[in-house]
Amino acid sequence: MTETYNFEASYFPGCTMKTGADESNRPMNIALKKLKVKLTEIDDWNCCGSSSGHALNHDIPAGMGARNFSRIPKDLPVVIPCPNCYRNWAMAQYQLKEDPALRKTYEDKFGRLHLENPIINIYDVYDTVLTETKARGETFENATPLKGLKVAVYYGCGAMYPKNIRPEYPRDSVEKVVKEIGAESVVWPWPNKCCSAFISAVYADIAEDLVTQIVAGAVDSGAEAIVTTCAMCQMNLEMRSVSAKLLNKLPIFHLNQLMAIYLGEKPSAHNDWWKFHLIDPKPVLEKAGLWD
Amino acid sequence: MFYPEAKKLSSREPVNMNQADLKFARKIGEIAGTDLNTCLTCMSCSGGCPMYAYMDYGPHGIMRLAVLGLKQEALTSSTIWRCVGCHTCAAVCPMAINIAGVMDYLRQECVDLRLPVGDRPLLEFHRAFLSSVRRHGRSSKVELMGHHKLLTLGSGPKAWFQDAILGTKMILMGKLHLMPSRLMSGGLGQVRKIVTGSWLDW
Repeated sequence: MTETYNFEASYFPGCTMKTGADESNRPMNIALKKLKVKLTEIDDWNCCGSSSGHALNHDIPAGMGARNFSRIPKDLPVVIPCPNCYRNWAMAQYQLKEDPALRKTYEDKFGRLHLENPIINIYDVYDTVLTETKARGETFENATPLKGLKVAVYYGCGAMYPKNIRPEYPRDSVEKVVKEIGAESVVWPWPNKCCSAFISAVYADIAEDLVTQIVAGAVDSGAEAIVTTCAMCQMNLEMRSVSAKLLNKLPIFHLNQLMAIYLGEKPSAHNDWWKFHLIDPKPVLEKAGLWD
Repeated sequence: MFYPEAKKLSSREPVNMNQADLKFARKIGEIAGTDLNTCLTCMSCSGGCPMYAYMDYGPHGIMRLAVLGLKQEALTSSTIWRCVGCHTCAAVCPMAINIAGVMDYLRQECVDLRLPVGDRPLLEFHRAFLSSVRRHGRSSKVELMGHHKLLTLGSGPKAWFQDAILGTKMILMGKLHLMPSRLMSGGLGQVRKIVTGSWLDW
């Protein structure tokens, strides 16, 4: 008997999720399994070019994107967990679609480019599957709503796109998911403020300044934790809260972790996630009564 | 504590236009795919920019310099390098100008013309990153940081020892993998042909 899936897609992990961020990878795999989502990793994918690609050469994102687009199977959407990879893919898709000559050069090199396949972010998958399941009137086994957890939803600058790619202002999918899984999302000033990305590696003081503003904004708005979908943001926020010696440090969750907990994982059984955190999330989960 | 930079272009002296390149804005527009002359100077870009406090002109200043054709000032500013490419400016711009795309173009022009770099350590970061991608087809954070420290040996002890303890701790706890993940050899050749540019032989 073949298993039926709620959602099937090909999967581009990106360099951060591939070499590091295990604390996000592990719960993601658990959550996807429970949501009956099948993701197949793209064979021999390459880096999207990140922030440095488009900074030093206009052609890098399009070229790297073209090679990736030639490797994805036809008619399946591509799921990309990293917001920066997502933006680079979307930019490459736009450029290659707009410029038939450019598309032709890369098709000669790599074979057919599947530019028609939609690109979606991991929170879109959660949003879609949760909404569809709810519409069918079904529920998940062992679902434990995260009642009493007040989080600030932090997209980072990953939700910002040039208007030719995404004309509307950043969406609220993550807030919807957070509400759906029973947690409360606070209204706060910096959902889209940049965490300083790679500048954190060069100028620690700038990063500390920005992270202080972000975390202080979340504390002032009454959040007990910050939840993000970007592994880089998570790392920067944690690392710089620690190095700036903030008095009120908030634990920084990945959305994947909250999702897995909602779908019935016991936080206390998952030291394999929490050991990668610089700020211990246990007190917050205990306070919300989720740690048992 | 980081003290915000005083903004240039705020002096009361008249702007010296003798060196202005009047075709500059049009050229940028053609390559970045946007029309800079539609800029309303509303400063929404600088209002949204997370790095504005740490830049010498800010995105709106760069847009002004570009429209006025003050090429030298724009290309040697620290603004173009401190731009993180977060696209907040592009998302909030009422005239839909892709300001982040303009910053990309200016950085490339600065490297192509070998002009003095407004913020050298950040250029070295990009170079270290792309070298890592050239080696493996994917990036490796640990290798990248090591390479960056080597490239910026001239910037003094503060830069060398920054995050030494925290970084080591994160490697030891396994948050950052030491070994990069790699592409197959055929793919690696293809990637090396894409990741090129005049930054390679700086």
